[in-house]
Amino acid sequence: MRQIVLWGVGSREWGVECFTPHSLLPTPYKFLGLLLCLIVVHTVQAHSELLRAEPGPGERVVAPQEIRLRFSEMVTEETAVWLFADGFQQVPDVVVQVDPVSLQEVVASLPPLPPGVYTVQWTAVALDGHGLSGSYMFEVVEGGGRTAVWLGGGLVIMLLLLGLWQWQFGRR
Amino acid sequence: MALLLLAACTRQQEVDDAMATLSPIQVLLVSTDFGVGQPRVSFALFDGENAAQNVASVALEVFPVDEGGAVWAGTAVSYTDYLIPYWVFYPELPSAGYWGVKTVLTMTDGTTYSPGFVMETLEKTAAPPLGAQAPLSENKTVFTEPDLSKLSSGTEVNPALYQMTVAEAVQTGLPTVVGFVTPGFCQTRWCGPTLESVEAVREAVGDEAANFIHIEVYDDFQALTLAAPMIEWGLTTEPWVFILDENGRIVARLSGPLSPTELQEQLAPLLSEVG
Repeated sequence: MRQIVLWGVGSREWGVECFTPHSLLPTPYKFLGLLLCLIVVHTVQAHSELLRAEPGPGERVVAPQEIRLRFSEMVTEETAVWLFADGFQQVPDVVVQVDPVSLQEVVASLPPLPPGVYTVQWTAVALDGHGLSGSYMFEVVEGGGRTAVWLGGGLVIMLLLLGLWQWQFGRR
Repeated sequence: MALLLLAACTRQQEVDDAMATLSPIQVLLVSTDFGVGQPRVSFALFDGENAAQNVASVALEVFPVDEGGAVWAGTAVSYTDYLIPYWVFYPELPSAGYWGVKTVLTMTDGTTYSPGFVMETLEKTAAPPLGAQAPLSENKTVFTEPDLSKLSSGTEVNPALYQMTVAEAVQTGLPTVVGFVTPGFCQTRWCGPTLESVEAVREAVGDEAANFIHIEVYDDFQALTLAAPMIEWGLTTEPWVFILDENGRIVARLSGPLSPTELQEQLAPLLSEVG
């Protein structure tokens, strides 16, 4: 058996990555490989990686009320989320709660955020004590900003079509 | 109509500009226990679930959180001979506290992103600081524990890494590399390959030039009780690799992912001194 490489217990990747030769096995033996993986996983430690975030990295959102982070592992109450505005000004009153059922989702309730770019800093502590820290950015925009762009763009396209129609009509 | 078109294009350009500065890249801080001074800080860059590709260079500025002006600026060095590529920098941080790190990532196509992250420096680190005398641990060796399976949780145990204690190593007049790793229990990309890096450098350098010691994190693989040296060295995370000079003083403290190239670079000055 080759070395088992775990990306994270319970993550959606593990079925592929948990037991490297697994994908090479004939189908009837894949289940066996999977089972072996589960047995090994039980004793192996792992870091809790960020699987999904809302708002996500690079996203532009209007008036977010919370940050929702989904990790690859169950995490402890030591897991933390901080939010920083431009110039690394910490945003106060961010209340963090680990989902008591799944223990894999963390929700940070936010105060009203003015438009700007924000950095989310998270530290996930897995049940085995392994920690991992990361950060990403999202932007809060004025409500309707994007709508205005679409409306403006739509208006331009309509005017272009109108002009084209008039040009065609004029040729006749 | 031309004016309307111009206005719409201008608005779209503003949006594009805003999008250009907004980084889709996650920064993962992969080292820990930073002391005041010049700590080694390492991080990985991820785009979605995969390591970010095509990052040509990383420039950084460090700011005190909530306070303003940059206290340090510099660049990070990339190490790609590890399971995940990672970057390392050594900021000068004058006091304990929280620091905002602004990065400027320049991609190979010239695009730039500017994600940031926050780190904490401690007045007193948990692990021994640079310059400190290494704890003279009486770690397990093949002479005190002939059963190799009890020396390491790994599946392929190299006896060469269990030939001497730290206490013995500092008496040899050679530099020493001490790795605290649990290859059988932490096999993620963040920690698993670190022992392989130690073995690779040992093969490259040889036992005549330096001592190489692996200390298993756990004393007991059933109850998972920490090995005594982990407690003596104040380690609460793993993996850790320390480099000791010929007098047993700590000259490098390397936590988290460690590539063979980085380890060899850190060891090289001591090898030339000895040579």
